[in-house]
Amino acid sequence: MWDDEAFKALTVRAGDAWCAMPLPRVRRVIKSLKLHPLPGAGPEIAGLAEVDGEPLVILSLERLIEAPPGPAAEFPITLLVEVGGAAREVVGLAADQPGDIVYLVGSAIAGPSRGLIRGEARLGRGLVRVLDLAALGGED
Amino acid sequence: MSRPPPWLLLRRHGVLWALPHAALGELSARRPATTLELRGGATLEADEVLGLAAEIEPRPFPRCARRFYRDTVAGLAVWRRQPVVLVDPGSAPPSLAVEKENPVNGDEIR
Repeated sequence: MWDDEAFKALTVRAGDAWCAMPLPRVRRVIKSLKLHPLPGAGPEIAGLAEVDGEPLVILSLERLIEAPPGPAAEFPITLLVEVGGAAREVVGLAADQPGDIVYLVGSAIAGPSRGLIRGEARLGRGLVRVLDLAALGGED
Repeated sequence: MSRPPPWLLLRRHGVLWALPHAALGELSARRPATTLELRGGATLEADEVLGLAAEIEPRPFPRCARRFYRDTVAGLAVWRRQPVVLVDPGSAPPSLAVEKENPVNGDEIR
């Protein structure tokens, strides 16, 4: 995926930053869920939720990518995404605004790769942070 | 076919928790919280005890979220469309620990 082959990515806003994540990793995009707190959790965990009878941990995308706060979310969303490598898990990502589906080419992603952020790519709306959801896995 | 062992549902700090019923030793209702003494010796506190539930289907806590939540839990579940945190009786989370009351003026200090 990260070579010269083009792949589809979904863009979303988290805080003041726009991100793009590989579309095949996105199972569903739903409106923001009712969150239940998890005492003792770090700020990266937005809370717990229920989706289709299953419990779900919702992570704050804004916190995960350390984005500065952005404008108030008019249409906050939750993305159900597959994270990890061989052993995939489904978690929720809380984001502030859905964007477009775009094509990205791995070779056009530049900048240092750190954790969840694979690098940056220039799109119509400016620089977006490209997310590597495999890196969010718990195998490490 | 044997029925699954029931879980004791309780609410603490606005969260639903479930404890394996077999782990419960003694339960004493006090105000404002209920104290639960476990067979293993630990004592927990709940704001409300909701009763027993057999229809709990445990799911593992996601490994990817462990780095953001260090307490030990037995997993997650859903009860009546609400997420439930499953308590590991051998290592109950600090959120369920008995809270010490603040001393009141005039209390004897030992």
